[in-house]
Amino acid sequence: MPADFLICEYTVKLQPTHEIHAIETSVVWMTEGKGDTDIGVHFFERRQRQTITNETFRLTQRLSTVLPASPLSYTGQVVSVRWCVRVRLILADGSQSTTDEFFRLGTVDSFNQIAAESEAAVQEAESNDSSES
Amino acid sequence: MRRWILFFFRGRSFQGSNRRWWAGFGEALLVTALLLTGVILFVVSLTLAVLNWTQLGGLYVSPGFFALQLILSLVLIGIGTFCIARILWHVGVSAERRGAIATRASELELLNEIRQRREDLPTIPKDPSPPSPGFKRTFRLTPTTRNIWGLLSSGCLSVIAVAIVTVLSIIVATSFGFGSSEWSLELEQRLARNQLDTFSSRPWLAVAWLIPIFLAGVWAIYQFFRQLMKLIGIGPTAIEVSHYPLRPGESCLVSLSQAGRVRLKLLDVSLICQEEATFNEGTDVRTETANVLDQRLYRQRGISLGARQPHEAEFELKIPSNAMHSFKSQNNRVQWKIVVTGQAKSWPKLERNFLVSVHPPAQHKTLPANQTNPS
Repeated sequence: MPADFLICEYTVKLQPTHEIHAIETSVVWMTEGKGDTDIGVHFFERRQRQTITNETFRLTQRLSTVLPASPLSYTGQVVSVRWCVRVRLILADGSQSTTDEFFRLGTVDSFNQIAAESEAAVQEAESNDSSES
Repeated sequence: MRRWILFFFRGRSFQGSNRRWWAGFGEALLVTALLLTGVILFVVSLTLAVLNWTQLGGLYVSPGFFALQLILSLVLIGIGTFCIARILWHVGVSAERRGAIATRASELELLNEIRQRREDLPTIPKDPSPPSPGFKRTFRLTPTTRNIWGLLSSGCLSVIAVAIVTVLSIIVATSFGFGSSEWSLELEQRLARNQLDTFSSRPWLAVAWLIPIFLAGVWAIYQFFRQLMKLIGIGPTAIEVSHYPLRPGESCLVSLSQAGRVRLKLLDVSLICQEEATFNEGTDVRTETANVLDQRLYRQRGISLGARQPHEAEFELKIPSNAMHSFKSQNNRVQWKIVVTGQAKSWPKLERNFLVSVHPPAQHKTLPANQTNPS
């Protein structure tokens, strides 16, 4: 929910042949649907090679942030908004590996769901009226 | 005949919407005629002055006459412009709004509070025109820009067309001798003398251009007149809400005021949530929209509007629980709006949009977005 603390734990497993250059962790929202994708970065942290030790790969890493009030996760007809925690490993040879973990922010329903619920509520009220009469 | 006499002297002959329509028609016609006469006079006097013509229709025209004509044309243009400005002010700003503007200074703190609140909400679009203090309810929503540009562009186009037509007409008329008092005789004599030479020396290019530009001018004047009629006939729409911004699950009271001089067959007010996505397709930039919610708030048939008697109504608006808030990013948007539509006989369709800012449900106090606690 907005204003809550998001705590995310992750571990990095590296092949012995790979040499790490940097680790980037971020909390982002992105749009999906018919329009071109927009991305908003809420939290970003980059750890350079100098700060990466053997402990980094042995222990669980953690990021935490206070979630903002908006935009809330939403699935619409032509616009959708999704939130995710993204961990990007940048290797010394320039190659990258990205892992996204999606989550929902807020409790926004799609309008189809809202319409279905309101229709169901109307039908329920009508059936109650008819049973009372 | 009697009802025409009554109409002109008392303004009572035509009943209901007919009378209002004729009043609007007369006002629009008068303003258009004033402007057109002014522009034609202005162009004629300038053309004659530039060409240094002192003979017009066989009469000697003194410089004083030119100056008088120029001043008269400017006065006519000024009166026409003033009348349009007056119409825009009276039709565009209702009495309630004028009253509300007077009290605006005392209520500015309320609006500042809204602006402050929005800074904590990323991707919630700022209102292009924030609400102002209301007269009946706390906030008056600002409508999206009305089609003033249509009026201005058709006005400019008609002025340019009339100016060109006037200049071409003067050139053609003079070359064919229409300026003299005995132009028909002169034309006959010229044709009799040497037809081919006479015709080849005529400005046929000017004649050829005169007809299409004249037709374009007539079309532009018609469009200008139509826009003016629309502006005069269907007055301002005012929407006021009891609180703002709105939140999902919350209700608010809405006051509607529709002024004008027409009889509306139907007046509808709807709450619409619209998604808008912009995308590149090849070299084109396309935008797709979808109305994901269209909820009717109010409907009334057969409404008679008067200049001092606007139609007023009150109703409730509820944003559905768990609905998406207003959202705007570079290529995607979710916007909420109240749309007022109306239809009157012989008048263009009325449609006014009022953007509404819907915020996410209230939460406990949030920390700034950059305040994070990485381990």
